[in-house]
Amino acid sequence: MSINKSKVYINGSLVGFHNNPSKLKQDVLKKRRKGEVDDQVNVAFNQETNEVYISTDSGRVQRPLIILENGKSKLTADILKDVKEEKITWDDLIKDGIIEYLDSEEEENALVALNEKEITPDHTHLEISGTAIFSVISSMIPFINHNMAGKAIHGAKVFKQGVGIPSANYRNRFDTEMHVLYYPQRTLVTTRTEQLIQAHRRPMSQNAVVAIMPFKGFNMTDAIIINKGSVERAVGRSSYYRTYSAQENRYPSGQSDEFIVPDEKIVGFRGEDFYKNLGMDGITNVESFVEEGGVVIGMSSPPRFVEEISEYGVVSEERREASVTARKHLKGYVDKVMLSQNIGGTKICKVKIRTELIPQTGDKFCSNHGQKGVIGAVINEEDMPFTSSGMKPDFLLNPHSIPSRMTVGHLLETIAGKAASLKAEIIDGTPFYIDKENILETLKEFGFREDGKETFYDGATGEKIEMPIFVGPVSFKRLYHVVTNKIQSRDTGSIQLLTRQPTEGKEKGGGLRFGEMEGDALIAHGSAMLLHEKLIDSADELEIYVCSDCGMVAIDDKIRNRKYCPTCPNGNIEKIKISYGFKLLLDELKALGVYPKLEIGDKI
Amino acid sequence: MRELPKNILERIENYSNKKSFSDAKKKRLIDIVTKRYNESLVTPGDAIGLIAAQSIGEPGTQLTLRTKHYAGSLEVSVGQGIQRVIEIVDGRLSSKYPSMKIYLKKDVFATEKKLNKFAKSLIDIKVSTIGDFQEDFENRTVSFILNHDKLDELDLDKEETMTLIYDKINDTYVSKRFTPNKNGINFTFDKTTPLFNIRKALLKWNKIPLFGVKNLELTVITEEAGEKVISTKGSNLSEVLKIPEVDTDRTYTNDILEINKVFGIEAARASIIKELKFTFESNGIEINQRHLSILADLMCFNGKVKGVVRTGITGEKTSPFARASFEETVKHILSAAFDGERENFKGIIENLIVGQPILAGTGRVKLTLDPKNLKKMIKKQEGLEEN
Repeated sequence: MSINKSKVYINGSLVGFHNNPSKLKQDVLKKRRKGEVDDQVNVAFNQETNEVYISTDSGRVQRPLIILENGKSKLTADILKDVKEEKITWDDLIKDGIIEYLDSEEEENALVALNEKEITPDHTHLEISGTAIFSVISSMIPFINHNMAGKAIHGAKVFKQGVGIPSANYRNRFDTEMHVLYYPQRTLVTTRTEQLIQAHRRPMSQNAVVAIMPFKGFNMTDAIIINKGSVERAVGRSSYYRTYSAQENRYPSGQSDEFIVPDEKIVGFRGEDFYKNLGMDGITNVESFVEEGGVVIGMSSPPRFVEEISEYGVVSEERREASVTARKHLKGYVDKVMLSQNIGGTKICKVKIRTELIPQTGDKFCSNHGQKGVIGAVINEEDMPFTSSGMKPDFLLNPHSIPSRMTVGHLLETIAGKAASLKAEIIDGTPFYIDKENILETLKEFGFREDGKETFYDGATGEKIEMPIFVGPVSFKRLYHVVTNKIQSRDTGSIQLLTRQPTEGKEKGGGLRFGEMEGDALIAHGSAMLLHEKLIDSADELEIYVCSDCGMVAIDDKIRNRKYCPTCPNGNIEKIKISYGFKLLLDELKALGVYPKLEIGDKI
Repeated sequence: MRELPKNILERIENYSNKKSFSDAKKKRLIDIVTKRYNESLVTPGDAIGLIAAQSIGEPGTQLTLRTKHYAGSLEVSVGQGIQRVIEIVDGRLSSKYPSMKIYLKKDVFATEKKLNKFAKSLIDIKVSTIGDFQEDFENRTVSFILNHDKLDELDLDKEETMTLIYDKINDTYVSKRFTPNKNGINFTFDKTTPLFNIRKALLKWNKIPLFGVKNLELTVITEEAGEKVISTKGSNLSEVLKIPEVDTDRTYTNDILEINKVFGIEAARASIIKELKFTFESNGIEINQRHLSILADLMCFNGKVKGVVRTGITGEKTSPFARASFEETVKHILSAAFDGERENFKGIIENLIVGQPILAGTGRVKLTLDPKNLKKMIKKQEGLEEN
């Protein structure tokens, strides 16, 4: 039958058979290049399975390539000239069949030349630019072609986490969370992609002078030393905005929530001091200071159950306190307040609170090349090492973070950055199109070493550091992982209702779990009493009365000061110490119909 | 101070005799060894089982998850990594990659050719491995067609094979006639035979064993310290040991349950240790022998190989709470309640559940202080110090 014919699929479903698959493919190609078929249609012929795939659906990643015909580029010098003079646009190039989009399937049939020099008659396409193999974001990283692939990916990922100016209208927006960098700078070393998409007009990084040297062990395992002087000059300083919102919900009883300044009559009144920042309308005044957990929007809710009318016919209204408070560990100034209504006419209030985030130990920074780290120490400016010209670096990176990660791009960017700042012009670091000679020439011209190293002196003693140290400006990003939002600690505090064990989680004031493996470590160590303290004494210790005759938990009547067994009339009651978790287990066993009989003995 | 075990004392004796030590010197040696021996003893109350579990479990996280297959090489692949460790520790009934190492008696095979032939003769060959059946349902005939390439590969004699198949099939199935042929055998069934029966017969015939040892899928000759050794894929210890050319003392299989069957529980215990050690060491991890032997002891102590699973040793714990805390909590608690079991609180988990100090480490010691006696003791001590 059709065993020797090739199968033809459109968008993955079999539509028919064809005698001459390569002709079919060529026909579709021709029509596409003529513009008779949409330019996003792709054809691929798989010789092994003898199948032709035609794809017109969404979700395929395509990339543009220059078409070659008989080993000659269709993008001739004449056309290029027209493009330069803006006579021809990109769309024209595609319509005229000079450039076409390939998807991953059709790419399997293509032989792509990387540059014009290596074109042979076998080649079907020519790369528009070497940089085109990178994504938009990764091609914004200068010297990325010198990096290890994993670190290049890492560097690209960081663009999402970097703090910059998120939008032009950030002042008017009410995002739940927003970071804004104080003084973003254009990078000294840029790429053509960055210019093309005009990312340099809204930068998200700062050019920090980075020296690669250890410093008293404070920058080991990827920690970063930051100069306190730089911090005071606002390196990495940013604002953190958080929006709190509330609305006046209406309830079936006819009553509704209300934005007010709560008074003493309201159940759950916190005290005068808590509401001192609130204006007449119950909303915090703009630019007033809000403490950790302070009231942002004063609000009261109606009682949960409608009260019965008393004998005098007066409804005593007991409204509840329902104010919105700021988060724990977050204080700041009220930046903006918004009052509005939703479609149903419910009043909505949003309050944006601004916190200044000054870089401190634990904040995260990252270069373009995936060299990330948290601040290990903020060092006084006078203690920082300095060069013979008196320059003090902003950051100190540990040299161990370079060789194993092979981020040569980071080092090259340092040298290029140095040349850029000396020459006072921005240097192009587009991958594959780098003028290294020129950069080194510039360094020499200004009397610097070609290898980017400089002599340093110890900040504390003034002694010369023997080895010359690699230093130069690199673009660094502040990432939105900030310690103030993550730090947590606990001594005593809230417990869970069911198990009476300490709560878990930062917002609930919980601690860090002392888990099973940690407990095992103590058992292995043989410290039985420490284990007992961690698991019982500081968790859910319980003193309980037990009937030693029937082995059931006794009743402790605190009002009559009487302890008795519910089953035995004259049971002998003893006090024991167990964990509350075990008491729960006993209850559950009883619910299962199992009689857990406790046998009591002396501790010693 | 504990005295030295007999074994060590004997070794010291032998050593001193060999070096002709004087009595004083020998005594000093014994003193030193005794001191070291006592220093390296485990403190009473140490949770050695838990330490063993941690010492095996932590390096276990570094083991590879996948089995390595080397394409093209004739090497027999052995399960490696965490998969294999779980297999051993769980005491599974069947290993995923059973393998044998067959050592041969000295100089049984003069030439390499003979050895090769012997190695190939071990491979389990069934009717289906050397040919296919073709059915003709209309005429109710079935023809067996030999695969000549396969025959050559396995070094089999054509006529011998043919007659063997001819005989074996004759034995097993009756209602048919046959005519032998060059390339194969034709079988003609009775005209009344239901087609279903023909297919059934074929499936049966395919499984008829012809040559070799059952379960040995592949044999490869490897060299070990200048000696030729046959490695196999698949394992059948009891049958292989019956072959006269095989060195029964050294031939080994990695199938622990088979070792248990053939040699008994002590051999199984030793092979658990050996296999675990081999698996960890081939991943570049060294684990102290003591941890492994504790595990192996626990798995073998009641005469059968039992895994560390709820059907194995974990399910046989005496404490109902300890069993319930592992898996199937409700089932264990209810069955304990039906049997009226008593919790003795001798283990660790039981005491943790209740909230009592555990009976290990410092919790093991039951020391009470008698203030009257204490004063006496202090005086006595002071007197001693003055002297």
